[in-house]
Amino acid sequence: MSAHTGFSFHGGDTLLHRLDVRIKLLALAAVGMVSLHAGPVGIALLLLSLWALSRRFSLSLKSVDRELRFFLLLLGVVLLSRALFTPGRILWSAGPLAFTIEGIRDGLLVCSRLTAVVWCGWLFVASTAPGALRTAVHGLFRPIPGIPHQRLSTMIMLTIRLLPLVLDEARATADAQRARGVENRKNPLYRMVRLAVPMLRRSFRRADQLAEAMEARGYTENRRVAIPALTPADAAAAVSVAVFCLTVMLLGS
Amino acid sequence: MKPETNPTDAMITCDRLTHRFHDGSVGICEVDLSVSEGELVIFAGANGSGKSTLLRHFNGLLLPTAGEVRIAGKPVREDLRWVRQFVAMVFQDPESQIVGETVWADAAFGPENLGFSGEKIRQRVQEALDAVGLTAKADQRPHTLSGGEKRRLAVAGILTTNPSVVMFDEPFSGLDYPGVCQVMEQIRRLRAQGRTLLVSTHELAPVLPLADRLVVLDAGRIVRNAAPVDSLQNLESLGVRAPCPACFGRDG
Repeated sequence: MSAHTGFSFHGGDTLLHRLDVRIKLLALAAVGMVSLHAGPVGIALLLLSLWALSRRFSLSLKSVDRELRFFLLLLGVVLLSRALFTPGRILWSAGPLAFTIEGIRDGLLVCSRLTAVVWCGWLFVASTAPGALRTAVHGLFRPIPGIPHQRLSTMIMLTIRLLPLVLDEARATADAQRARGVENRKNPLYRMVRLAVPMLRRSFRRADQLAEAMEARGYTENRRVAIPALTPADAAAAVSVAVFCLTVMLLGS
Repeated sequence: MKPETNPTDAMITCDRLTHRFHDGSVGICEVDLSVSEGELVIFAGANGSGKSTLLRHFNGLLLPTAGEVRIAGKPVREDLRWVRQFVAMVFQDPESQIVGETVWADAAFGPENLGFSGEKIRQRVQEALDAVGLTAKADQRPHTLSGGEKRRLAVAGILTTNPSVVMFDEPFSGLDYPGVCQVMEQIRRLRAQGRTLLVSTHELAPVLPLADRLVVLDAGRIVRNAAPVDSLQNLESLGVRAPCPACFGRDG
């Protein structure tokens, strides 16, 4: 059975949990875009705010340390490549390799921006029930003509529902192959293909079964989805995020 | 209860029902069958005998190549939406049936599709979860439930639309003893409510004491169709494991 990962919903009754998911989605998009263009002061302010939010909502970094390993590796690669390949004043060199001050500064800024984006995403996921996300997508896209909002929200619902199953199946298939000695094959491509083929086959079969079950349960795109009304707190949060984003932008890039 | 019923008051009627798959193979062949309201009928047979194919015709998931299926006197192909509300199905693999991201959301899937009001959806879901004993797990994610609980959730999901006929496709597969007991409890409750129940299974022992009729299929044809006590001889020759004699006849 799939274990919960750190990147999943953590129940609670905090302000972030109570905020309308549409507002949170828009805020996530806005803060994400702003952070990618923010300067050192702006990004520091953003990271400080995110840290304060995380502390306030008792979300610990320890719960995501496993998932963060690859992200930290990515940050390391970004920092290293920026430090090595950005021209500027040399801080330290060894043979053809030279770390520049400008490169390290640039690398740290890019890493901070990426960290801010991932952190925002984590706070969003941790404070948003999957069902509420589906409703929010439904509500956000309903007024826009030409977008099949019902289909979109159903796709999100099914993705959320089926992701743990796919992970379980991947784990079961990998275990079965390990039991049959696949680790003796050193070629990663061979191992990947051997894992992917049965996984895809099972996924397609499950998709067929799911479609049949939904049909049996009378699935229609004209389903009734109750969209909650926005509250004054949601409006206040939207204004606060807008002001914050503007401030970060004004602090310079 | 009589094994054969008068077709005029039948809940389900099959008239020379035949289904051929796209590759030309025959799923079921010239099946004549009638099921009365409130009956509990078991469908047994070896793998590939046509049990699941036959059940899928009763809620219009498959349509006949030849012949006709009528539900409460109405041809299935006339109104599939109505048929699927009237005849519900609990699938062999409940993982495939559960679509909601929480127990509550999954139970609400059917009534949402039927366009019920928010209050009616809430009421139906609450009643269904109470009925299967999953109210305390309403906010839980379905993949964290046990096998028996997933089957109970599947039952709750169909109860919300209040069907007259409930079909179970291999309801005991992959379940431990407590899981089988949980499913049997639901079957007993549905039977007490007077719903028509169709159970396709390899495991006859748990459900046979409750059954009115045992239908055995072989190569897409009905080869036995009688009260359970009259259908048990030489079941093994048809690829069906006969229930333990000590179990049969015990209400449980």
